[in-house]
Amino acid sequence: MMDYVEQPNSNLICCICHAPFTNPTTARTCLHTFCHDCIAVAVQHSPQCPIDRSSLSLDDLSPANPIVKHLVDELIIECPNRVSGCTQTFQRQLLSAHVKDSCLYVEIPCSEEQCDKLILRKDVGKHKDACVYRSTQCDGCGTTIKYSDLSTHNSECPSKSAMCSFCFEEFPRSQSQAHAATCLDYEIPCTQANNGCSWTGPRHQLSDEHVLSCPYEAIKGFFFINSAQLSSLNTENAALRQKVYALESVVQTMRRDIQTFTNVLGPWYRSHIQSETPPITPSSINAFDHLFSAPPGPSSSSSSRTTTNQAQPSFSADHGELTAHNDIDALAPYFPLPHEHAFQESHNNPRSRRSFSGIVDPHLSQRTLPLTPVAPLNLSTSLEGSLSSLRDSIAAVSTSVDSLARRNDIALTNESMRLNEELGSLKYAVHGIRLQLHRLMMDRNAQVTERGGEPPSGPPGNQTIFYPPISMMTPSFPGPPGTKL
Amino acid sequence: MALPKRIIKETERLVADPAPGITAAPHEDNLRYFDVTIQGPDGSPFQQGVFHLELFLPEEYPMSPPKVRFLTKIYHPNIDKLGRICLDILKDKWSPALQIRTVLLSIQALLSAPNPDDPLATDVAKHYKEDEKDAQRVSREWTEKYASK
Amino acid sequence: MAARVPRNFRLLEELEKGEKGIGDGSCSYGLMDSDDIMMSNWNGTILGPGHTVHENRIYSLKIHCGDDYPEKPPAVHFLSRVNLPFVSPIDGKIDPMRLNVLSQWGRDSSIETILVGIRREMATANNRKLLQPPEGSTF
Repeated sequence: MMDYVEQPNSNLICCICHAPFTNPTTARTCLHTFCHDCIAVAVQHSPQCPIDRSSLSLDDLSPANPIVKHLVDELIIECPNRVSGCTQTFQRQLLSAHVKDSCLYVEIPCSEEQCDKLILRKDVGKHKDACVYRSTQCDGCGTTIKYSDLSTHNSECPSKSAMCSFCFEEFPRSQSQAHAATCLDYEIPCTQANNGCSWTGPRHQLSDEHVLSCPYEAIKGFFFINSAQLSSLNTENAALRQKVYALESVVQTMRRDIQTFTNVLGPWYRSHIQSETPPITPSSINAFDHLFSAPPGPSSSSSSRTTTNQAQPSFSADHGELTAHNDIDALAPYFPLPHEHAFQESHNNPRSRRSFSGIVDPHLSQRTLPLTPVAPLNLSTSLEGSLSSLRDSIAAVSTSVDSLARRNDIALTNESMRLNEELGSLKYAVHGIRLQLHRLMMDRNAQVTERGGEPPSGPPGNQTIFYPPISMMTPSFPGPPGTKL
Repeated sequence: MALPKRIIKETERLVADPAPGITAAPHEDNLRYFDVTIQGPDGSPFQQGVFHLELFLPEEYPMSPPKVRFLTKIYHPNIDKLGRICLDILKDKWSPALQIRTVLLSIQALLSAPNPDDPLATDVAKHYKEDEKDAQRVSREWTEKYASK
Repeated sequence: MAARVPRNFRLLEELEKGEKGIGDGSCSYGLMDSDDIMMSNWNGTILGPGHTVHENRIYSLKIHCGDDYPEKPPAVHFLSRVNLPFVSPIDGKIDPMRLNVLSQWGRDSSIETILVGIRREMATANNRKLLQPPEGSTF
C-alpha cells in the first residue's frame, strides 16, 4: 500500500497486484516474476503461471535476481503518513527506518511512565511541557514531584506560608500548630466543656470574660468531687457485676445438678414446694423459668422419662401447669393417692418392690394398669425408709434361708444314717443266705462223690454257674444291723 | 477489509482511459459492482448495438475471475437467455494476470467471433451451425430490437 | 467488510444451486420464466413432511424477489390451498411477521432457507394436525 512518487517502470509491476514487486519472486520454469505473496496465493488457487498458464508449483519459486530487488527497493515512495502531514519522500527500503525513527507524524507513547497518551513525534516536546505526569519542583520546599500532585502538595508543603483564619496573620505552615496553640483569636471551647458548658469563643475572651461568668466554672469543686465519686461507684458496680456473673454460673451448675438428681431419683423425687404450696405463682415461674428448665412437681419430673419434657421449658406458666395435670392423669396409676397406699400396703407389701420394673415397662403406661398383677409403687414412705425396710426384708430372708439350709442338713444326715444301717442289715442277710447256699452245695457234692464215677445230672457247664466266686460273697460291711432313726 | 489497491487502480484506469467501445463504472454503494456497456463490433451482426452488462468482482478477485452477465437480450450461441456468457477465461482459463479491461475486450471479441462449438444457448448454436446467415439475421433483429442506442 | 454480492449475481448463484437440486429433494425451486432476465419470479415446491396431515401432499408456491433482494426478503404466496397460521386464507400470502425465516431475514437467507423453514413449520406440534383443505385445491 505504498504510493510511488513516479510511475514505476512497468517491468517492475506485479501482474497480480498491479504494484511494484514486494519480495520479487521468479518462477524457475518460465522465469516470470511476481511478488512472493501474490504468486504463492495464485498457485494455491490454480497451479499455473498467471501469465503463460504453464504449470507451476510453490517449489518452482525462488527469489528474483537481486538486481530486480534493488530496483524496486530504490523506488522513491511517499511517507504513508502523508495524510497526517508528513511530506517526506525516500527510497522504499528506508520506509521502516523512517517510520520508526524520524517520521514526525508517527504516534509514539509519552516518555512518562504513568502517561498512557500517544503523541505525534512532532508534538513530543510540546507534550513534555504539558504532560500532567511531568516532574516539577515545589518552589517552597524544593522537592521534585509530579505536576499532577502539585496542587495537593501546595496545600501541605511546610515551607509555603499559611494564614490563620482567626487573626489573619501569615506564617510558614510548619508553625501552624504552634500558632493555633497560642493565637489569641483562635476559637476554643470553654474549659468546662466536658461538664456541659456549650460556650466557644476566641482564646482571649475565655480568661478575660467567660470564666468570670461561666456557671460551670463556679461549681468546679463540686464537679471534682462528683466525678471522683462517680468513678468509685463505677468500679464498685463493675466488681458487683463480676460477682453476679459468677453466681449465675454457680446457679447454672446447681440447676444442672438438680436436674441430674431429679432424673436419678425418678418417681422418688418429690418437691416440698408442690405439697406445701401447690400452685406456683406465675411470677415465680417467669422469674425462674429460664433458670430451671426442669419444672417443679413430682409428676412433671417423672415425665422427664417421656418426650413431653423437652417441650416443657418453653411453655408459659399456665401451659406448664396444664401439662403437669395431664401428666398426673396419665401417670396416676403409678402414683396412687394416699388412701390407696394404705390399701396396697396392707394388701401385698412385698409386691411393691416389683413396681420398679413396672415403670420401665411401656405397656404399663396404659390406664388399664390397676388390672395388671404388678403392684403400684408405694410413695407414702421416704426413700430412706423404703431402703431400710428392703434391707430388713433381705436380712429376714437370708436368715430364713439359713435356717432352712441347716434343717435340710440335719434331715439329710439322719436319712443317710438310716439308709446306711439298712444297707448293713441287708448285707448280713445276704451273707446268711450265701452260707446256707454253700452248705447246700457242699451236701450235694458229697452225694455225687459217694455214687463214684456217676456223671452229674446237669450238663458240665452248669457247675460253673452254680458256683459263684466265694470272694464276692464275702460280706465287707462290718456295721451293725440297720437301725432306724 | 478495505478495497484492494489493485481494484482501485483498475477502476481509475477504466474510467480515465477506457478501452474503445467499452465503458465500465462502479456502483457508488458497491465498488466491486460495475455497470458495463459494450458496443457491438463493426462487421458483426451486433454492429450499432449497445449492450448493457453487469460485472462483479468477488471476494477472491483477482484469484477468482470476475462474474459478468449481459443485461441486454442478445441472440448469440455463447450467451444464454439470462445473459450468462460462455467464455473460458471467465471459468477455468482465468488467470490473476487478467483484469477487468482484458475480460471486457474478450467479451467484445466474442461478439465478433461466435463459437457455436462451445455453446451455452444450444438452440442458437444449432441455428448458427445450420444456417449462419439466417441466424445472423435474427441476431441483427434482436440487436435492433433490444440494443439500439 | 467482505465483498457484497449484488442481487443479480446472488440470484444466479441460487438458480444454479436450485438446478443442481438441494438436500433430500423435499424442497425445490426454479425460475418461473426462464427468459426473465431480472429473475424476479420463482416457483417453489414443498413435499409435505411425513407423519403430519401434509404427508404425501405437494405444495406449490410463488416467490417474488424485489429489486432490494437480498437485503429485503421476497414476497411468498402459497399457490396450493393450505391451512397454516402464517398463510392468508384469502390469497395464500405468507405474513412475513409470522414466519421466522422471513421476520428474521438476513443476507445469508435464501429461497432455499424459506422453503425449508416453511416445511419445518408444517411439522411443528401446533401445525402438524391442522385440518387441511382438499388436496389439489388452489388459491
